[in-house]
This record gives sequence, C-alpha cells and structure tokens, in this order.
Amino acid sequence: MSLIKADLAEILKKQYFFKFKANIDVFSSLVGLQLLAVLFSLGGGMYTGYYGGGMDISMKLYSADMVILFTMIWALITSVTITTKPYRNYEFTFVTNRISSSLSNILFLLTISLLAGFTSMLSANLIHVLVYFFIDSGMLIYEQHMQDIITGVISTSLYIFLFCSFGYLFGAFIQVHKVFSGLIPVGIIGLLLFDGMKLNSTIAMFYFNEPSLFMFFIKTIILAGIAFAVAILILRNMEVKR
Amino acid sequence: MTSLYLLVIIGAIAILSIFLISKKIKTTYAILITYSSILLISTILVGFISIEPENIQIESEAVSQQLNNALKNGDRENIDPLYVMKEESFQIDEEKVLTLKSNYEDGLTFYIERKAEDDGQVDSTIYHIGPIVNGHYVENSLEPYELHYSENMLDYYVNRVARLIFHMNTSEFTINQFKHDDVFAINEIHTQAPAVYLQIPKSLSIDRDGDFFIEYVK
Amino acid sequence: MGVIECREVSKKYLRKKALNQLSFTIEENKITGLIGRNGAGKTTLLKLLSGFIKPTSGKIKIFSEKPFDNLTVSVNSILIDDQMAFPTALNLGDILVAASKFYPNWDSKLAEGLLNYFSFKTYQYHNRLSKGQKSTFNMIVGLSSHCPLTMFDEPTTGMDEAVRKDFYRALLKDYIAYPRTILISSHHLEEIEHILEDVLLIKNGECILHQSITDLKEMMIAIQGKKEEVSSLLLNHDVISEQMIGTDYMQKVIKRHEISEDSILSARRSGLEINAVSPSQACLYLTQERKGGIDDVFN
Repeated sequence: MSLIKADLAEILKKQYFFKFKANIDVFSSLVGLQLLAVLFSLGGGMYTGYYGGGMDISMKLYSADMVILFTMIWALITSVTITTKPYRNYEFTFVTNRISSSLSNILFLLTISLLAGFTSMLSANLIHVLVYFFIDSGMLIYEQHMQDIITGVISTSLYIFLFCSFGYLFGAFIQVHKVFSGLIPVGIIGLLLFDGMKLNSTIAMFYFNEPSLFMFFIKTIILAGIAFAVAILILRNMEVKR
Repeated sequence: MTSLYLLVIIGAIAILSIFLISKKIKTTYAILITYSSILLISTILVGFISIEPENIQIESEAVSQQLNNALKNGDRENIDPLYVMKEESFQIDEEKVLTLKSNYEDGLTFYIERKAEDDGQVDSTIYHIGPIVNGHYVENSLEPYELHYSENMLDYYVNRVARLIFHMNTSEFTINQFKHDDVFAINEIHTQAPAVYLQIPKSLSIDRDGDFFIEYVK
Repeated sequence: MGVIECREVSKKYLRKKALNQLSFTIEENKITGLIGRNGAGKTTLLKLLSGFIKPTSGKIKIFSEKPFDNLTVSVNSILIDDQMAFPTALNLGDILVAASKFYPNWDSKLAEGLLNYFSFKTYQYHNRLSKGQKSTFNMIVGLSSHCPLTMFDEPTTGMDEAVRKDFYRALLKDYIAYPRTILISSHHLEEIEHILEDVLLIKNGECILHQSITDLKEMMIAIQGKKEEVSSLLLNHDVISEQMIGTDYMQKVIKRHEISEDSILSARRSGLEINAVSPSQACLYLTQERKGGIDDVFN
C-alpha cells in the first residue's frame, strides 16, 4: 500500500468541517442559553415614568446586553469543552496532529463566534417582538442604523472570540493539571480583589473603553493570538491518554 | 390584526419545525434553523410593529422655546402643524366678561390676541408638543384636552388621563463602546404644558378662574 | 527498510518502566502478532507507534519518520482499540462518512458490507453499543481504512466466538486483497496464530523474541514420562519449564536445538512421550516468571 504524504491545509479543511458535525451540540446550547437570556431580558432595562397634566407616560429600554453576556459565558464553556480529553481523543481516532487540531479548533471557534455574534444582535428584535405581543403592547420606538448593526455584529463577535481564546487557554491549563481548574478562577478573582480598582481600570482603559473599532479589532486579535499561542504550546506536548 | 400576523408566523414556524424533524434532519439542526428563522422573522416584524420616530433627535428644550416665542409674538405661520392639536371657534356675547377657567395646573398658558374688530367670535387653537421621548417626537393623537364654552365661560379641561407606554431599543454595550456622542443611555421624557391661543373680539373683557398664565400678544 | 523501526525505545510513567530498551524492525506488508502478558507493555508500544505518546528515550521511525505529532504517520496509520473515541453527536453512518474523508484509502464498499453483515444500523450511536459491538464496529473502521500501517490492540475484547472467527477471516481476506503492514496485539496467541507471519513477544517491556510463526512452532519440545527418566535425560539441558503430573510423572520443556535427533529417538524408544509445543504454549513458557508456574505457590 502506497504512502500518502499528508497536506496540512487539506487536513485542516477536513477537520474544520468535521468539527461542525462532531461539535454540533454547541449550537443547541447556544440557542438554549440565548433564549434563556431573551426571557430574562423581557423585564427591560432602564425605566422612566411621567405623570401629570393628563398624561401617564412610561418608558422602558430594551437591549440584548444580557444575551451578549450569556453568549460570552457560553463561549468560555464551549472552548473549555473542546480542549477536554474526549474531544481531543476523537480527533486522534482519525487524522490529526496537535497543531492541526488546535488550528482547526481556532477556525471553528472563530466561525461560531461570528454566528453567535450575529444571533446575539438579532435577538434584540426577538425581545421587542415578545414584549410587544406578550408583555404590554405599547408603542415601540425603534431606531437602528445600519452602521450600528454592523459595528455591533463585529464587536460582539470579537468579544465572544476573545472569550473563546481565554476558555481555550484555560482548558489547556486544566489538561496539564486539574488543579488549574480551581486555581485560575481563584487567582483571577483574588487579583481583582487585591489590586482593586487599579487593575480593573487598566483593563477597562485598554480594552472595554477602546473607542476605535479598528484598534479594538487589533487588540482582540493580539490578545486572542497570545492566548491561543500559549494554549498550542501547552497542548503540543500533550500525550493522548485514552 | 397584529395577533393574526403572529398566529400565522407561529404556525409557519411550527410547520417548518415538524417538516425538519420528520425529514430526519438532526434535532440540533432543526433547533438552529428554527431559532434562526424566528430571529429573522422578528427582525422583519419589528419593522411592522414599531413606530417610525417623526423627527429624529429633536432638541426638546429648543422646540418648546421656539413654540413659546412664536406664540408670544403672534407669529403663528412658522409653527409646525405637528404641534397643533385642535382648532375651534365659539360664538360669544361680547357685552359680557369672558371668564377663562381651567383645572390644568401645570403651567398652562393662554395667549390672547385681540382682533381688529368685534365679530362676536373667539377662535381658539390648542398647541401641544406631544411627549418627546429620548429625542423622538411621538405624535400625540390621544387628545386628552378639551375647550368647552357655556354662559360666558371658556373652560379648558383635562378630560381623561392618556396612558402611553413606550418601549425603545437601546444600543448594546458592544455598540455604545464605539459611539462617541452618547456613551450613557439617557432616558428622557420631555413634555411641554399645552398652550391655548385665543383670538378674541377687540373689546372683550377677560376674567380668570384658575391657576394659569395669561399673556397678551402685542 | 522496515515500516517500523525501534531502537532502544524506553517509556517511563513516573517511576514505572513500561518499555525498556526495546529494539526491533518490522518489514512492509507483514502481519505481526504482538504477544505478551497483561502489563507487558503492548498497549504502550502501540501508542508509541501511533504517535499518541512520546518515548522517554530511544528512536522510533514509522515510514522513516518520527511518529509523535506527525501528520504523515497519522494519515497512514490507524490504531484500533476498545477505547477508541468517537464524537457522541455522530451516529455510525456519520462516523463512517467522516472516516472516509480522513483516510484516503478508505474502502466504502467494504465498510458498508461489514456494517450490514454484522447487522449494524447507520442510525445507531457508538456509545450505546455493547462492548462486543463496539469492538466489532472499531474493527470495521480499522479494516476499511486500508491504512499502510494498521494496528489492533486486543481487537476481540467482548466479541463472541462467531464474531471473532469472522473478524480474523475478514482480516485475512482483506489483507490478501490489499497487503499492508498489520500489527495485532493479543494475549491469546492460539486464536490468531493461523493468520500471523511473525510474532513479537514482549515481557516486562523488553522484546524477548521476534521471529516467524513457523520457527516458533518448532522451537520447543515437551518431554513427558517417569520423573526419574525425564530428569536423567535432561540433566545437562536448559529446562524452560517443568511440571509434575501426578506424583510419579513429570513434563519438562526444552528448546529443540538443545537436544539431538538421536537422543530424541532413544528417549522415544525408552517410553518417553515427546511432543511439539504449540506457539502459544511456547510463548507462555517464555513469559512466565518461574519454571514451575502457579504450582510453585502451592508447594
């Protein structure tokens, strides 16, 4: 039987499409979590009321903020999950090496981040429809600019992708030793509590308050790139134990 | 009408789901496709159920100021017909004193312009800037105010409480981060006390019964 | 040039040595049985060859490349064992489709045929199969992949007698049609000896024998008879195993080349029974710790 020379790009492509079939359950959990968040969002956000002069006006703001937050958590969980043993092992049943496994995972996470970013933004509309028909049918003032929607989809997807990369790194650490699963969250919370406002505001200034979408994009790519690179280095020497 | 829409849509989604599941498509795909179609339908539906804001981003204070100035100077040609709520005329007895009365206590103003002659008629116009919600003018078709004339008394009264519920979409934090104008969502309802503009016969005397302003137009 | 080349390969898990200075070469298109007792290091060796784990020391070459983290080795080899992981979201049909995309030599016709023969349904899920069914399905994947290096680690675990026989027959037929290098680990040599060409015997992580099955068949003889007669005949010989039969009789096993044909003839004449030792028995003798076996514990 003749030997076949492996082509990384070709195998990456196969693994990428394979992952959509193998990890299909992440989509059910995405739908479930987003619907749950939509349900929680029906209460609405900021409320303002006015009474007097024959007018009784109430006014509530609705947004998909909650859905985005839930989706970030989903991204974290999903990316941790795909670093776990069963998910890595079934790749070795077929054709893979560590690099191609991680690269196809990153491509997969990027794709689901875009999808999740898109559905997060659209879910705002579902919230409005549900409020209008089932909560109280008032007047819906709806103002959305195309530019905002595009910005929203891009930035939300970037946020989700960043969380994916953190989850992937976290998952890689857990694969080295289970103790990290407790150590890292405690460490992060401890650091935030210990250093208090200073660290928080530094992070906020660097990332959450970045006013330029382009710079935000660059920063996300750099941060996610670092997280993925470290994860790849960790996973590179990981033996398959099944 | 809207609930009919909704029924049709729910039916369509249900049929779609059954179709997908019966075709032995994986449940997850069915869930994903159903969810996506619900989102897309909602996106289209929002266009139907929402009201288009009349004027985008009205400076509410400036609008009030403009209206007041225009009324004070009797310069009514330039007033946006949007703010005209009701126009009426009443036949009165010029010989007697006309008493203005109102139970409205939140800064109602009567602007009074004397006509050039005595024609035994008062022409009234109620001006009202409907609530401006977060900079969007919401047309006020509820008309909770009325003028009533009887026995030399012109009564301006609030006939009922108009209840208005507004929902509004607000940008998600992932959008606000890149919007430089208003980072913090302002939730503001601006209402302006109504104004009644009266054109009265030249020699009519006016008396008042109530707590409101009367301004004579020069 | 061999398909598999191992030079002084060792693998340590913490302090325990799973493989110790293992060296051997396996030529192309041979069926080799990897024989050893529990814990001898068979599974560790197969995982090393698959590139799942890294050797602590020594050199492994598969198709002249280091197997660990190697895409070419991965595409050209497959390891079938009872812990093969498949995505839980995929049913058997999906798994075969996925495998056909990954393995370039995949034989869809064979996979389909075997799936039907063993009455699997494509909509079944792997994690809901019984142990034997899992092994059978894994075997189907292993055979249909037609990988130039196909490795089976205890492939018949949980299979019933009929399925085992079918499996070995299928393996042999497919091998004849598409010759390739096949490695089968087992602790039941008698079950697979009819399909093997070579045997690689390991004990405590060391290779103690690597030769053809025909050589192994002729390697040892057992001499049975009265205790005194057997002992006197084999006084100066290296006895591999001895066993008492009743109180007066005993059996000793020696290598055939240790004794001349003349001695065998004379022994036969004097009433001793001389038998060939089956390959599986031979392997058992070679891997047992004591000459007397379990009986020593009770004496």
